[in-house]
Amino acid sequence: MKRVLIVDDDRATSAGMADVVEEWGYEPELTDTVKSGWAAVTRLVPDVAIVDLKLPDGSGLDLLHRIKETYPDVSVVILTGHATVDSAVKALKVGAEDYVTKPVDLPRLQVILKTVEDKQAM
Amino acid sequence: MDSSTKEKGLDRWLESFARTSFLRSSDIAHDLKTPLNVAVLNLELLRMRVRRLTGDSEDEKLNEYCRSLELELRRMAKIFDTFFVLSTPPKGESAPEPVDVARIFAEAAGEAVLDSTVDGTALVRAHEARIRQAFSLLLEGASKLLVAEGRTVRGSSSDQCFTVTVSGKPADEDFEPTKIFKFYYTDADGNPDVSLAATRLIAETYGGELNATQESDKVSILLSLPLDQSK
Repeated sequence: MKRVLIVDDDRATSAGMADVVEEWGYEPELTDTVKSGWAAVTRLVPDVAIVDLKLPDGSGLDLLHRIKETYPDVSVVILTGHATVDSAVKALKVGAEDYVTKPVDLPRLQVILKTVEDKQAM
Repeated sequence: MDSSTKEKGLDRWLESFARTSFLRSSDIAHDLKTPLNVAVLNLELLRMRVRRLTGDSEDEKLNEYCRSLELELRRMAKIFDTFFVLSTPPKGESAPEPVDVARIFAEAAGEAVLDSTVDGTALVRAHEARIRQAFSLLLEGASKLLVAEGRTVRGSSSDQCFTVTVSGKPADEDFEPTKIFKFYYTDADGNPDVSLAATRLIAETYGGELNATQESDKVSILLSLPLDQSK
């Protein structure tokens, strides 16, 4: 079963996301800051990390940078609540797999996770 | 706010409210999206749960209610995004400069593949990107409201303002001009459509107006922007 790390400071969001991805057959793990997210990445080395752009102790882009530098095989999906997608586009340039805006289009997220899974299986 | 305040600008004490709203708009938009996102996630979880409890059988009524709830939640997100994005200047831009809106209108009409007429040049103090967005949204919204046959699109200048007029026969028999500028407007296919509400917001930001008039079976949608009088 693929491990999905969810990094979002809103508990209701991360709990809801965790339940949804678990229903889809993934094993979710939750954290809520850049610091705890990085600790979870080093401990678990997840297959995918879904990272909110706006975190209490920094930007999700900081975490994305660190993950891509040390664990290039970990796929990162950026979650953003902003209407404009400038930061999300920046994230793609740094190596994020994709980005989703809130409220999340769940069928789209499922396709992204499936695509990541297929790529990693190759 | 009384009408004199609206005409002359904000009273000084009101400016602090406007300033705070302006400075906080981006954060508030982001914060409003969080509970909406949670609602969408839980709606999906509810669907999954019911499906499991009913042995994967589909209930058409339940699906309809869920679709409707999701549509409204996404409509709210669209309204938040549009309202808050347009409450601040385009990213990285400073004070508005005189821009030739006649040229921008001609380009927007060309991009929308609409036959249009436009006279000369017309300088309006505004942000070019926002004006381009307003024309594009106006043409998009008006094109859906008015049937293509007999529809006219015209840009013209007077001493005071530049006006774009889109006229034609309404596509919907129950056309209601008071509804089309509302953020909750739903088009004839049942989809949320904020194009004209957003156009009006942009027009008013630069001192202009967006109105609709109806005479028998002909509707005209008029966007007017005040010309720069500084020279």
